[in-house]
Amino acid sequence: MQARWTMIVALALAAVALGWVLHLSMPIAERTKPADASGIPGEAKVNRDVPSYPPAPVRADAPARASENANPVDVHERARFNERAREFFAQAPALSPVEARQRAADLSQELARIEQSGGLSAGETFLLRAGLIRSTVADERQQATQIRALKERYEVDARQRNALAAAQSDPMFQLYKVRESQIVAETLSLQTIPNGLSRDEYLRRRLQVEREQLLGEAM
Amino acid sequence: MDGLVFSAARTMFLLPVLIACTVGATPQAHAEAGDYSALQTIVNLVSPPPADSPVTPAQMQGPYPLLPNPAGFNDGFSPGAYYQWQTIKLAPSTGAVCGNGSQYKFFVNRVPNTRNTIIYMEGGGACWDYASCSGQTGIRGARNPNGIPDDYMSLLSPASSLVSPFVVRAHPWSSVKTQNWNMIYVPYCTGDVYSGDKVAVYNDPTGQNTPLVWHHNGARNTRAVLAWLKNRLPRPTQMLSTGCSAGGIGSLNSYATVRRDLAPTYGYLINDSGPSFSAPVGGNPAQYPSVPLHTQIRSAWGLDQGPMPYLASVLPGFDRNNFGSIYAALAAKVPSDRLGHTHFWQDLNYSSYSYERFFPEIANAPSQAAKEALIHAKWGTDTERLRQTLQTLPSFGGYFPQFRALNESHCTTIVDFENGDIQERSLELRNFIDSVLDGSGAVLDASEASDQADRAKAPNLLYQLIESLL
Repeated sequence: MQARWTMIVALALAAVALGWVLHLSMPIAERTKPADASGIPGEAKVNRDVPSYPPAPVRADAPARASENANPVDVHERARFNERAREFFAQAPALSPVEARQRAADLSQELARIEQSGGLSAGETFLLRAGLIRSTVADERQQATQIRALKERYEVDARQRNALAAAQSDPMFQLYKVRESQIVAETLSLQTIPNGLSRDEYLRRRLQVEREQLLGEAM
Repeated sequence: MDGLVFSAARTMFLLPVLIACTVGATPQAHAEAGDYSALQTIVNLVSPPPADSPVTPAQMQGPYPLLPNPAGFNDGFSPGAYYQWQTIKLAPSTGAVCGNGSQYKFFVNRVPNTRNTIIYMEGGGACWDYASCSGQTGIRGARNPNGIPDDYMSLLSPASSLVSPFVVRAHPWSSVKTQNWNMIYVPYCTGDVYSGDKVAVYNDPTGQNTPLVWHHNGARNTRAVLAWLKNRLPRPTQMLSTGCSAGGIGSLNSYATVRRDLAPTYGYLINDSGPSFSAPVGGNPAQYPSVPLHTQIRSAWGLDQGPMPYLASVLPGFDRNNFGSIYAALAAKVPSDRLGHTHFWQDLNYSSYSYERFFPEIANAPSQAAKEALIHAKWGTDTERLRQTLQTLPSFGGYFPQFRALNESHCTTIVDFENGDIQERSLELRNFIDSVLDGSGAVLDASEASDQADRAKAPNLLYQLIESLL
């Protein structure tokens, strides 16, 4: 008897827990999408002070993780974040400055966490941070200053990454480029093209074979 | 007492009922076609749904076959890594390659709760000679001349996913149902609007550098991406193919084959600012201003040798001697799909690519204003013909606002969905997007006559600040 009740209670608890997990994992349905906030900074309805928090710094290591495909994102956390962010941007014009700043600060912290785990692209995080600034900074000049600084940080990060990538060229790709030039020269010098192919198609096939031989294993 | 004693069988029966009741209380289960049930979503977290419509042996044969990665190739995909931008690598044997000969990659952001999928094709110009393909400054060229970095989605320059709310899950200002879908971001590195098939050898006109070997390989890259999708992800119930500029026309040109091979239950197309204007071979450029451009790219990208005959073979009604015939052909081929085209009348970007280097009176115009006026006039001629064509096609809507103070009025769906309004009819761009994605009956057609209201708007701070990123 007691064992049965224990099992019933356990099952009930499991079901409730499962339901809660499901609730957290659900995306926002299209039919409940929030009304868009104004896209014009000058249309902000509430006079707001400069927020007390800075936009979360761009972590130099976060973008690299995004490309490694290795760190699973917390699905529940991410779905909840999407929902909260959409709600905030939809409701921000009607919030008090204090509440808007507090909710924006919370979102900013969560955004930083998700970014570190590779769950957002740079474009997404930039737009979200720009949106948080626009939703909490009433003064347009302050908005401009902060968004410009944000953009510059991202651009610096991109330049550094590109420079790093350029310095780490793949030797097999360099070898392929050498062979590519040789094959092009050979093909252009041919009087007749084998197998009745056009010169263009012959060249394409030769280079295709070369890539498969040189780069197929390396990638 | 006996009433409180449940048998094990009863208990096991009650469990799913209890779960069902609990799950049923969640408001968003079965939000729309293609969404998994709440229970299946939970299962997907533990056991990601596999591909259910893989490439068949027959599809691996013939022209432009679907060539998947070879067995054992590490494509970088983690099936259970939801909500994460994953870099997917394609082996050389798939036929995919970037313009400079480097490996082609694309990006996947998967969700556990739906089969629905957006394929977003990145924009970024076009190229057909040494100057434009080599990435020289001072000339309109093509994006990513040095290939696609692994961490591309983590870079803000170029702008990657910044470009469109379609692929930003929690966009601050614009909401659209694809934000909850599986996202496929297809980057652009071949300069051929995803349509070419030719290895070009461009000589440096100055003679200072060695010839540039450039792989206009867009047609094969698109096929390789498609093969991967079929072999690694479930068949979409709903699918939107979209993109802006080069990505827009890329989505248009590939739609017939993507739709056929991916076989979604519901198919949608939104071509943002990548028109394929009517330009008959041998046509008079005064009447058909895009004739010179099309003549150039037919040769440079090898369009007449492979891609266009192939498209004609799968799309009856498509006249390979007039690329503008694709609209009517596509509408006839997939009459149940909802298709849309949009661009600004005052677009000064795609129009410049289209005419600037082909008409001496434009290239030699005495002033920038005179140059822009000539470009706008030709764009207007081409746009008006396209508008009229789309008006005759119920399933293919055309939405033509006038002006937006962003990116030379190029692309209506980038950054946000704002300021693409047609005030004369009290329409917003979102009305058009909703018409394509959620409407019924004929897809919305709308065109704006005057740019006066658009130009009278207050400056948009955000647009000004991020202009340089686009």
